[in-house]
Amino acid sequence: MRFAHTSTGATVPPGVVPLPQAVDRAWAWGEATGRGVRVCVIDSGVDATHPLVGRGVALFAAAQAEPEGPWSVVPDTAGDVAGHGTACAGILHRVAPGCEITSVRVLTRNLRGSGEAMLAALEWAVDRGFPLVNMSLSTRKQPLKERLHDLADRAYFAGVTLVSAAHNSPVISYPWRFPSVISVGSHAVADPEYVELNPSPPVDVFGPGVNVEVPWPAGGTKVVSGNSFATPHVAGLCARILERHPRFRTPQLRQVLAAVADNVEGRQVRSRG
Amino acid sequence: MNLSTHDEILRSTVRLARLSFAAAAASVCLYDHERQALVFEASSGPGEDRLLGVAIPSDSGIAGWVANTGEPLVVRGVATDERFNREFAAGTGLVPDTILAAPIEHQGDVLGVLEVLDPRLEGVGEISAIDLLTELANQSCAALALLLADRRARARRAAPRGAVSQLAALLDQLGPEKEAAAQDLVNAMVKLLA
Repeated sequence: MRFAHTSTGATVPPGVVPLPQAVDRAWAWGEATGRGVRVCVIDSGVDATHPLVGRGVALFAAAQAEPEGPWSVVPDTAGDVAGHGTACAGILHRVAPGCEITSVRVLTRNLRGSGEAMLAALEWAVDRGFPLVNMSLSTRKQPLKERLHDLADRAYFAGVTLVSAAHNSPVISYPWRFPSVISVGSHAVADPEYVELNPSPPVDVFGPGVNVEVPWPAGGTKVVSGNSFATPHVAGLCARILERHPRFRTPQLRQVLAAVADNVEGRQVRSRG
Repeated sequence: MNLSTHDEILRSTVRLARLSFAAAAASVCLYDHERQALVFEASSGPGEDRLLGVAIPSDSGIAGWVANTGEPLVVRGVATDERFNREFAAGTGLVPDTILAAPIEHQGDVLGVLEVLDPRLEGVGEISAIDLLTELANQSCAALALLLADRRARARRAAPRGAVSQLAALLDQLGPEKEAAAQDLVNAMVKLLA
């Protein structure tokens, strides 16, 4: 007789875990730029012609072939319909200029479908094995919670790390509340690499989210505030970590972010912007 | 509650939002399911009359983002966005530089968006401003939920052959002698809908 979920005696290669040693920024990412790391940005689309988002952003959108039909992800030409996704892609490119960005546009005219579009986009990203997914959005719709929870778990076990923005208001929404994702809130320090570990979960870490200059569709820049914009800062650092440590998954990334956090007591203040 | 009371609540909401932030303007747009658009229902500031009834696509722009995601947002530097200027200035004559927007949500569903144009954020800070506008939006939400419920009731009354209207008409005809039978019906419906 054999139980399920028992050890097979398999060994773990050293590159899979941060072994006992000094986990500092030089070890975590050093000069890495996130080169070759694929990041899926689920948002309002991206203006791929904007010089501040880098070259080669692949564009997709969640869509329905028929009004009541199933959602799927298809190639897109609309760019960014709201500006938000271009802003997030620009932050990613600034922090990790080597990463490869794929955009999935999920804004819908029928607001009833917006949650379904987000689920379809996330499922697509998990199925395609993106090591990182930037989700600077969430849903409060309770009927979607269970499916989203299952999908976040699936991502976790598949080695797909969801970096998810906490809601800007003190409300419960998803997926950032799930322990299977890295959830991000904001601090006001104007340093793109300043990261704080949150001693009071559910938010895991804080990144720069106040008065952040970002690219905006049609070529200009804007200054924006919100947890949405802290999230790609953290996703960008994760991309850099993954270039150096490509076998790391969500728990290792969370551990490394915690280890290098600027607000660990007794640590010399690295920067305050 | 009549329609003028609803309108007054909305007007009060936008005036309060505008005053709270010493802003150039404030407006409320509500989601219209049939048109799949956000329609301006109340506005305070330059061009406020011209803006009423104007519909904008619910999947685009800052308001579209807020409506889709339920997330409040602050964006500065909008004045340099020519696409935005053309669309918005056509309705109001106002070209704002900063937009503060929060969703109006009821039981997890976004009913619309409350926007403040050119708020004075000095000394307030972005995070506090978002908190304040979100609370203003929450406060007006109960009134808006009543507004939408009233609209649904009006729509039902306007369609006399609808099943709900037929049921209402039948029940209206009942006299006191049917009290016991009506109670049986109520009990059965409570059991059915529990």
